[in-house]
Amino acid sequence: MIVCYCCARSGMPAALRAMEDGGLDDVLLREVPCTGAVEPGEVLRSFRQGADGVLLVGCLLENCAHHYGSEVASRRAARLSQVMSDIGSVPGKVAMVHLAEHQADRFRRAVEGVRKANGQEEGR
Amino acid sequence: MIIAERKPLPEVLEMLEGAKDVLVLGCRACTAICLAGGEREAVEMREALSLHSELKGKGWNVSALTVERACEREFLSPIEGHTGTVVSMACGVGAQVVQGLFPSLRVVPGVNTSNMGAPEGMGVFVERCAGCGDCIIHLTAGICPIARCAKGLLNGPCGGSKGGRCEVSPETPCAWEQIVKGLEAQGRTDLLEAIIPPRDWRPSRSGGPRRIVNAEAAPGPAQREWRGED
Repeated sequence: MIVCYCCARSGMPAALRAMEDGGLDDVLLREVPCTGAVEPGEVLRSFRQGADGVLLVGCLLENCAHHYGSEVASRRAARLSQVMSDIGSVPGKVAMVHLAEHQADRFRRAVEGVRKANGQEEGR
Repeated sequence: MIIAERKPLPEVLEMLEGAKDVLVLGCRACTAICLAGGEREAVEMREALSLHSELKGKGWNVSALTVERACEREFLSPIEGHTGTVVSMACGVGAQVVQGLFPSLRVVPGVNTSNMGAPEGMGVFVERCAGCGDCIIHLTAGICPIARCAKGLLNGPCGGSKGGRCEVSPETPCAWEQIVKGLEAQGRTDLLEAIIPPRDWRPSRSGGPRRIVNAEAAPGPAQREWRGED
């Protein structure tokens, strides 16, 4: 299962569009007001609750409704990816993708990237 | 406030070898403000340690607790009854108070305590006081030359000041440049003419661990008897 924390303004609409095309049965969407508001502890807790990967889906860097929320989330995702590596997991289990609400394909590619980090087969 | 930064996770994991019950102790005071050891960081540490334990089969029982101030025993009663190891996300002071109060616990540091400073901007914390025990900032426009000058010069600037920056690091403003500008703003440049004499370092770290007693607040004989502190 890949847990996606999706910004309500950009990530969630893009993810929902991508879901309509199928092939994302292993994706669990969680809507957040801004990816910058996703707590690091919450991301790690997702893994304890069974997630194989976590994807933060936020606005384009130049277009964040909260100005710098997706920038903060990007740095946080990089740090949490390192935390996962430090505790003995594989790197790439936590990732961030910046997109606009119509970029469903970009969301799909980001999910595939997280799947690959887990050594999962595409389209599982 | 006291500035600290998170210890690298691999170091913490190494210190926890052989542990069973692990309590991550956050502090809502200084280390929370410098984003190193508050409730949020304690929860993150708990999750990371739990995950590591599950992945590597360590069998750790990890919990987290955040207190108002780990450096005051009055706030540490929630730890009572805990056995095992405490990962202290408080500063070195808090960690030692916890250890002193609960000698049977094994306290390991979750942060590296650095200095006494202040936030300069979002996520940037800079040393402001060296705790030398003999404050003279009334002579230096409120800027501490001991903490903020790389050489701790009492009569500066030195020849390494270039463009208002310190030769030690271009990121560091020259403290004496700031002192001169500060005194100019206050109309007190006459202070620059006076030589600040060599200071008495005995109240500093040179005299060993320091102890300050507030005679009014420290308990007298009757109070000690009432508190059972004889």
